[in-house]
Amino acid sequence: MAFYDYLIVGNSVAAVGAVEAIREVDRSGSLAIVGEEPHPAYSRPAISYLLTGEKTPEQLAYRDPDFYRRMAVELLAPRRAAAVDPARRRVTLEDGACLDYGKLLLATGGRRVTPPIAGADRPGVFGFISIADVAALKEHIERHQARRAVVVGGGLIGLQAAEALLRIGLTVTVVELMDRLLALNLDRRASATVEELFRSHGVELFLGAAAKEFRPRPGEERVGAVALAGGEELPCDLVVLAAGVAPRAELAREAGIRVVKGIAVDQHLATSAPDVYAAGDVAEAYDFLEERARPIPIWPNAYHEGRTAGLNMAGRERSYRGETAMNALHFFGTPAISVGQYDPPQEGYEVRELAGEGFYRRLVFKGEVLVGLVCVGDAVDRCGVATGCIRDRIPLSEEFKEKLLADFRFLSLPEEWRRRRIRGEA
Amino acid sequence: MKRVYAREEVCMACTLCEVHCLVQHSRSRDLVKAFKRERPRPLKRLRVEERGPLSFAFQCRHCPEPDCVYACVTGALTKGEDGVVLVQEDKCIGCWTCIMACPYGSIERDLAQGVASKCDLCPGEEIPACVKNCPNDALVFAEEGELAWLSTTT
Ligand SMILES: Cc1cc2nc3c(=O)[nH]c(=O)nc-3n(C[C@H](O)[C@H](O)[C@H](O)COP(=O)(O)OP(=O)(O)OC[C@H]3O[C@@H](n4cnc5c(N)ncnc54)[C@H](O)[C@@H]3O)c2cc1C
Repeated sequence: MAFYDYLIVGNSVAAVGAVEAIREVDRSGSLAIVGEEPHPAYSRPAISYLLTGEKTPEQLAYRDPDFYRRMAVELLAPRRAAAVDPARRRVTLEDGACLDYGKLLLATGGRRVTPPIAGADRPGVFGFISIADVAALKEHIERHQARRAVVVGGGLIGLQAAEALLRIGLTVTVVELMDRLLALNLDRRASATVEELFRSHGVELFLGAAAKEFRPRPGEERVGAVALAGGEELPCDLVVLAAGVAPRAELAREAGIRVVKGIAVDQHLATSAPDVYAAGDVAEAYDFLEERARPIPIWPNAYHEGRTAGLNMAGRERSYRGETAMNALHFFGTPAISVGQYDPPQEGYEVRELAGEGFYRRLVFKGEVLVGLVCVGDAVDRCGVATGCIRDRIPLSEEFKEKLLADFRFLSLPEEWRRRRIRGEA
Repeated sequence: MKRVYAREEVCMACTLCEVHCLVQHSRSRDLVKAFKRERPRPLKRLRVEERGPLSFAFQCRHCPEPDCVYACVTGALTKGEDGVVLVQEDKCIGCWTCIMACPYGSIERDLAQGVASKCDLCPGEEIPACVKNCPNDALVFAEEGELAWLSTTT
């Protein structure tokens, strides 16, 4: 049996954030990561570059090849954790190995949601969240000389898949339940820009449409068509199913650790069980804008959560500063960014917009404070200046609201904040 | 660590810092070639802001806990042992998550190469080019602790 001062389940960005934080505090405590995937931590948001062939799996590595040695981490991969016993401080792996820990971090991320569509387990239906998914998809395309793809789900992941499939020469159709693309990432106007981009590149969009069944090819098991609830049938050689991700919280749930949607954590990223922490897509951490805990499955938040958990695990008390929803997207070379409450949740918000050729910017204020933004095209430049206004709740008078809308720069901030930024004060 | 600080009360917005920054980050290190002939065009890594008599130059703070590095989805942004925050261009995919995250607005899009571009504090130089070439001491290269005089004069 093995003992580790620090044990981490899951080997992705939240784990790396934790490792880097632990090693800032404790150079010598023993540390191991159990990872199900047979790779060092890699850039999940960049897996579409594997499909297009622009990157190899090695080039997707999130850290340098020496990372695990440098950080004195024992990487136990590919191996899967099967159970956690918080009372005995023990993690049991699927292969029967028992690992005891001083502190445990659950960083198991998310899994794809499979909506109730008949035939969802048919050959030729793929997820798009791992290197293995992309490898399987690629293999299928080559073996069957696939030419037509249907992507179910017009969110971030589905559209990354759709653009990549198009770039390698397939005909692509996107089916989305909501009446617009990226309904969870952009406001309506920015969604319309993205829809126009996809259509102009020859992608057919079915919006407000539900996939009902993945039908087989005649005489075969594998998928040959997607039937929509509205009656249409879309012939295809493959389906990418990207209808969302959900926290992979079952290890915690089965261990009696408190789970809401994700694993519940306090301001130290500690769970309800002693010395067990959770971070990343599996956890639900504090959203400083919504002023409540909720899962926000994005990369930067996973790092911040992992980092905060790691500092606390190593004994350096640190409160999570809180993050919020933010996304930087780019399709066909056009960038789009959204942060916070860009679609005002109710009355009492003020929306200001500025638009021009290849430029769209929307700022949402609550009283004097910026709470959300959307930028498309050249409007993304220096966007973080505005993100900083949201985070620091910088009070903006009418004058500065207009200045900020026109230009993300320090001269658009009130004097006191300009000086603080120039001095580099957090 | 040492950083570059602006003194807006003596900055004249001459933008020589921008010129020398661009040249320093060119391949030829030659003023005319850098501006007129090099492809892809080298970029300056700092910006001068100006409104009326008020102006200052600004670049990356090389934050102790850098939001850009923590947000970077590929690991292209790193903070070295020396504290300098750098972009590894071959790893950058131009997703601009760093631009969304940096409250200092100190990362620019290099559109020719599709990668993020930012201040590297001029590796190999004792004093960054912007500071060395400022005619007015409107940029200083200093430790945070040495700054008391700066905040009293501004
Ligand atoms: C195609 C795609 C594009 C994306 N693009 C963006 C983007 O542009 N910007 C952005 O901010 N976010 C993006 N995301 C989301 C982002 O990738 C996630 O938020 C991030 O990866 C979460 O990191 P994590 O460390 O929580 O877990 P994950 O990255 O989900 O990793 C969890 C790891 O734990 C392993 N694991 C799970 N259970 C066990 C177990 N029992 N034993 C051992 N190992 C286990 C899993 O195999 C996995 O390797 C994208 C996601 C996808 C799929």
